[in-house]
Amino acid sequence: MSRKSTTLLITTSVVIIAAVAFFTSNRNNPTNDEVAGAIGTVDKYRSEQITPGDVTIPGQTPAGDDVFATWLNDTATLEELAGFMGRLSPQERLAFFDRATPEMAAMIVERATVTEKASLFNRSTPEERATMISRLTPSERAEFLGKANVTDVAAFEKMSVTERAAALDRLIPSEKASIFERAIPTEKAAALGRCGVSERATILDRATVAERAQVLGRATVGERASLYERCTPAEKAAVAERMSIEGKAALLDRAAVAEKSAIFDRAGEGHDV
Amino acid sequence: MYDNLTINEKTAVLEKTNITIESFAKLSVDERATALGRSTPEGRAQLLDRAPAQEKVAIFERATPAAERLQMFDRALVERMNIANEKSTPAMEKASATN
Repeated sequence: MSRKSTTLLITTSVVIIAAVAFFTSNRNNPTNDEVAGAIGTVDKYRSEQITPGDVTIPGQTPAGDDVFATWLNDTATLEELAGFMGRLSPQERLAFFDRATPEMAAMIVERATVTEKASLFNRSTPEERATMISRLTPSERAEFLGKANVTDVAAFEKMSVTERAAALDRLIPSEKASIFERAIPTEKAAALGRCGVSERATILDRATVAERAQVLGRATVGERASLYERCTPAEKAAVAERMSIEGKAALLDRAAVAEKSAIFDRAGEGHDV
Repeated sequence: MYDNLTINEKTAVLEKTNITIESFAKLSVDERATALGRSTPEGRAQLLDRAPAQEKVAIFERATPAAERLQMFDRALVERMNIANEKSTPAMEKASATN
C-alpha cells in the first residue's frame, strides 16, 4: 500500500470515529421539553420513608409488617399526626423542623411577619446581605440605598462587603424585610438557623398542617412514634381508624390465641362460621 | 370460616367436639356455631385466622370493644415503632436530652 493510500485511510477512519462520537453524544442530551418542570419540585413525604425492613421483628413474617409500613407512610396519617405537633415542646418541634429542606424552611419563612423578616435579615451574614441587595433591579437598589442615605450608588458598589452590609443597617424593618424576600432558600434557612429557640419556634409554628406533614414525612420512625404516643386515646382511635382492612386483619393475626378465641366466642350467633 | 380450612385442619378443630366432618356438614348454622364453641382455644383461633380479611375485621370490630381494639393496635404499633426506633438515632431524643 502506498504512503498516500495509508494517509487517506487514516484520515477517513478519524473522520468516521469523530462523526459517530458526535452523533452519540448529541443523542443523550435532553431537549428543553424533557427538562422543563424539573426545577422547584418538592420531594413530598419521600425522604426517609419507613420500609417494611424497619418494622420487622426477627422470626415474624414481613408480610404483616408491610401493612404497618404502609400505614406509617400514609399521607392522611402523617397529616393527622402533624396536627398534634403543637403539643410538643419548642425544642422537640424544632427537632422535627431541623429535617426540613431549605426549600421547605423558606416556604414557611415567607409567612413570617415584617419584624421577623427584618430580624432574619439582621441575622444574615454581610456576604448574604450584599448578595441580596445585588439581586435587586438597578432602580430598586437605588431606591433602597437612597433610604439608607447612600446617594452614590457607584461608590457603594466599590465598598467592601462589610461596609455595604453596615450601610444597609440604616434601613427600617419593612425595608430590610423587602430585601430579605430576595434571599434564596439556603440563605433564608441559614438565617432561620441562627435564631434562638423561641424565635425559630414562633416562625416555624406558622407552618400549615400540610407543611408539618411534609417535615414529619422526613422524620424517623422513632420520632413519629414519639408523636403518636402523645395522642389522647380518642385521637389514637381516629388515627387507627384510617388503617386499611388488611392492616386491621394483620393486627388481629398478631393477637394471642386466648384473645382470638375470646373474640371468636364473643362474635356469637354462628353467623360467621 | 370453617369452610376455609383444609381437611386436616377441620379434623383438628372438631377433635374436641366429638363431631365428625360428615356430621358437622349436616348441622344448621346455629348448631355449627355451638359445636365450634366447644373446640379448643387453638381451634377457635385458627378459625378466625383463616377467615378472609374483610370477614375477620367485621368480626373483630363487632366482637371487640373499641377500647380493647385500640389497646391491641397501640401495643402492636408501639412495639414495632420502638424496634425501629432502636435502629435509628432520632433527633427527638437528642432534643429531649437537652431539655
